Amino acid sequence: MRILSLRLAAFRRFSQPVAIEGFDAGLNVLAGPNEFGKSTIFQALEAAFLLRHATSGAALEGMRPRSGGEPLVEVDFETPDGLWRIRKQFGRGKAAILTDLKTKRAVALAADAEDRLATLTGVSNDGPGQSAPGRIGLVWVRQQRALLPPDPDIDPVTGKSKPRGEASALVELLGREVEAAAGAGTASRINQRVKAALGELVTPGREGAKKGGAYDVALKARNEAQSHLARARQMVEASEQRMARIAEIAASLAALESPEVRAADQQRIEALEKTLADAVARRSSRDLIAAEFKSRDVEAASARQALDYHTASAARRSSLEETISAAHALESEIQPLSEKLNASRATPARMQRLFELERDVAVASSELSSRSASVEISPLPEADGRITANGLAIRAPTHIYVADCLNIEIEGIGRIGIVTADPAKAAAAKARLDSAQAGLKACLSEIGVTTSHDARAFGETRQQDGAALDKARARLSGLAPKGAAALAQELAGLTQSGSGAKAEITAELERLALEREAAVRTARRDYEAAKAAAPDDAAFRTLSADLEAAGQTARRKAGEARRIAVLLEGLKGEQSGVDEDGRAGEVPQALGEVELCEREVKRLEAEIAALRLLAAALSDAETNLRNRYFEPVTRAIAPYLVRLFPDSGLDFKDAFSLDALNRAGEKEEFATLSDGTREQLAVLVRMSFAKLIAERGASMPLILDDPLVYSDDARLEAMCRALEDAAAGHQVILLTCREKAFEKISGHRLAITSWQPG
Amino acid sequence: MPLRFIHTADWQLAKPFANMPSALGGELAAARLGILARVAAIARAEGAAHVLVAGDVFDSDLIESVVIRRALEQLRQEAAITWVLLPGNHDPARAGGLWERIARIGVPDNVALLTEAKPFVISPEAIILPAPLTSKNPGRDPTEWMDHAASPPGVLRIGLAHGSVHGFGSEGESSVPLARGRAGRAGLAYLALGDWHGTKSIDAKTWYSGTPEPDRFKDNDAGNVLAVSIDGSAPPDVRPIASAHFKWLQIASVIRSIADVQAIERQIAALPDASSRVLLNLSLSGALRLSEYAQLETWKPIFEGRLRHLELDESGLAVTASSGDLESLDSLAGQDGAQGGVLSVVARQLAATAQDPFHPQRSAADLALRRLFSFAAEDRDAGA
Repeated sequence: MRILSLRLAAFRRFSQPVAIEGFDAGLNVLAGPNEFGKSTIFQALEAAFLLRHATSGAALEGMRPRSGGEPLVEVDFETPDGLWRIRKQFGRGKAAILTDLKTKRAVALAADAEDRLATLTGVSNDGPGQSAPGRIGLVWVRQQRALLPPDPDIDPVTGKSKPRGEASALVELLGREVEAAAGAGTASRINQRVKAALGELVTPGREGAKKGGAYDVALKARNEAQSHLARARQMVEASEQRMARIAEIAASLAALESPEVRAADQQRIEALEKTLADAVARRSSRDLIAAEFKSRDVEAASARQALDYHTASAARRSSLEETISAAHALESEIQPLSEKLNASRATPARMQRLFELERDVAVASSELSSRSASVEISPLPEADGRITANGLAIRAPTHIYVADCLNIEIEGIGRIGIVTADPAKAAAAKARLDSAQAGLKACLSEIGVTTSHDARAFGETRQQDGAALDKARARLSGLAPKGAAALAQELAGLTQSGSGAKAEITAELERLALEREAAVRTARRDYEAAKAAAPDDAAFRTLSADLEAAGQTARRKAGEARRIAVLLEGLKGEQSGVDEDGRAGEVPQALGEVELCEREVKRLEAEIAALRLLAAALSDAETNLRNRYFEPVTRAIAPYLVRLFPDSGLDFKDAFSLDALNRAGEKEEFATLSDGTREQLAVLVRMSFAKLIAERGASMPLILDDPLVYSDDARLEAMCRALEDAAAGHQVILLTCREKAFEKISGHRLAITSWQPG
Repeated sequence: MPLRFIHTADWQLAKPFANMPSALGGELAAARLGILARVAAIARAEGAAHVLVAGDVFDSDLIESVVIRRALEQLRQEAAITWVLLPGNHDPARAGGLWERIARIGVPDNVALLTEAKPFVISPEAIILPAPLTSKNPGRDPTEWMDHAASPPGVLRIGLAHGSVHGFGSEGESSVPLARGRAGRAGLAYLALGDWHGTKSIDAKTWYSGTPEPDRFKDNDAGNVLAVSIDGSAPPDVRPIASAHFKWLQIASVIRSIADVQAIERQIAALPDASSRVLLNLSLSGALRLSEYAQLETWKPIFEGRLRHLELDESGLAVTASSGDLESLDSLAGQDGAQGGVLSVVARQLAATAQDPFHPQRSAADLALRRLFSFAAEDRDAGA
């Protein structure tokens, strides 16, 4: 279809009749400022083709100019079937007339006219008051409508289906290409159904069970059943433990109260008591024998003591006799020695004096020699007597100390006088010597000797005699400190008392001692035997402890039996209480519940898995289908798209809304693109729709009301070229307020002229 | 005059069935308690004065006392019958345990509790040698004493025990081993055993009666009591008599088409038991076309309604999607014969995953495929 002329009267902005005549088959441009009435023209075209003439209410009022009047629209158009005019009078005098311009005859009136028009234009005429826009909606683009996708078939508000909507028109238009879309609606509905079913079970995020949903209920029931099972098992466990305890205790009690065990205990106690009594008797006997043994021992000791004393006395007497004899011998030795000593004149004092005098002589002699000259005269044998010294003949070699002077005369020879240096001192020395020698001589005399040598011999003899005397006296003192007389007295005493005197006494004493010692040995043997027979202290203590323990054990067992009996009754009572309600028997019940719930959970989980899989498969299939469905559109838009966005492609989503621009390998979400780009792409999509419609032999003008308001110069230029391209295939009507912007676009400039309705 | 008695075991009174829907659990519990009346009726019909219960009279020794009181009361009312009860591994005679409790509650005159291994005289001609369990796992053969148990000459010796006969397999419930050949060694005229829930003869004189009322899906001939008749030294005459209220049935079937499923239904219908008393555990494996699977889905609730209970395990069942199925799916979506419609694409993909035995999401895909078909059908129905 292409539009040839439009005429309107009393229509919104135009209260006066106007006409636009001479639309071109290609590109038509109607440029004018704002408020010029472009949108009114667009609306008038829509009213002519889509609005029922009998419309009323808001739709009608929307068409009326402010000054009032009854809106009138008349359009001449061409279809492959011929040339037509539709004239619609709205409001008062409403009418619709379809005229065949070739025959100038009205071919249909009123509703018939509208039905016929719908058939001619491919517009559905089902709607009340207004025809569904069908393919017109796809290519007649109101101000800013370009950005919206085609009206969906389902009214999003009411949920009602609009089977002849824009999307349907497109589907219908795309015909064979979208044959694959068969069932798309069903698939979509089924997918919704699947998602709804899934939504009943799981949360929208699908991670968890939907609260209150069957799956949630099943999970909760399962948890509850599991808790029930756990509780029941605890109770069973407690019951089992109690039963085991009851069995154990009952067995213990039976053992404690068994007559055999009791008798055995009693026997043991009795045996222990008997053993202990025996032990006491043996120990007592042992102690008696021990006392006996001790007495015998004491007796033997005293006998032995008496014998010993007697033997010792005899020995003492013998010893005293010997000592006394020795003492007498010593006393007879001491007597002559003492006398001899007393007779000797070489007393120690005299001997001391002698030694002092000898020393004085030696000292004086020495001094004299040192003060004298020393002369050695050694006469030859033939000198016999011829040498004299101070008148004395020298016959033998002679040493002479010269104290004052010495006259040596050698007969026949002469005289030699020798004089000392200090004759006085020499004389004094001589005097002292003489004195000493005189003293010595007197001393020797006192001693009774003439020479020192004899004196010394005398002294030594006396000394030896003194030593012998001292020695004898010491021995005597050792033998008889108190003197031999005291010893003799003691001996006399011993002799008088008769001790040790008699051999028969000794023999008697020895016999007694031996006899008693034999008795001790016998007693010892008896004692050893008794001791061995009687348990020792440790064994006796053990025995007593054993008896005590056995008694205690018996008492403890009796007490234990009483205690256990009480405990057993308690446990049985407890168990009986539990048995009565049978709650511990709920395990099989709870197991069944768990199994049932588990089965339900598994069933639902399988259901969820299946529904998820189905939903995913349906969504995937829909996506694939959509891609096939969009394929003709993609193909149709390609030559236009290349003018603006070389090397790019478009992705669509539901209802032909744009999803993304794939530019240079990058996917750009439609919503993120600039306003200008989005609008340009939306217009290109509409252009592709028009192209598709034209290609399928049912050409429809592309009408754009004030498009591309956001485009820059370069893009606008490219869009203009694209529109020029499009106009080669079908009619394009561009209504714009931007005269200058579209200055360079080629095409027929439309003009509004006045009209006189006929 | 032969000695006649009823041999039964494993009543397991008060067994809970919490893994079953609660209403059914109640009915099953009631059916267990109903054992007493049914066994009594059989005893009367068989002219048996004694009912020997070979252990596991109660499900647990921890059950609530009121259950015991009810059971004792029922036994008391069957005054003409002497009930001889033996503790089993479920209800061992522990000190301070269940059997002492029963004694405390009060044992009716016509009930004998054999809690000790000593002969029990039931008539001048017969004694019972019981092998009561005093713990769940005694770790010894409780029947051993029977070999040496003295009895007057000419008196029939009847053993009563609970456990698994050695070599019989590991099928027994308990871990109480019983030596083989006890009846012969101990000179028993009959050895009445409990523990194994199915009716089973070990030898001519040794029998498991099985439980009179089955409690699980196990194909082992449960649900009988044994009517035993002993005439002198001749081998005992042992006849199983059906005593169950419910029929527990386990069927594992490989199916290729919906017709196979229908065959199963016919098989159930042919049973002597009323379908309304049948509890069926049905494991389906094999493969079913999607279109037939839809039929199975439709059939399932109808079939379930005919039974008392149906447990259907389809985990082994593969659902195959043929191209016809896929086309039908697209036709459900309103497009005849379209190739590559969304639903068929999805279905093909899911079917491929479901048929890959190594795919981790195999079973999820299988279920997803079934859901897809049912949702598509729902959508079509909603549209229509």
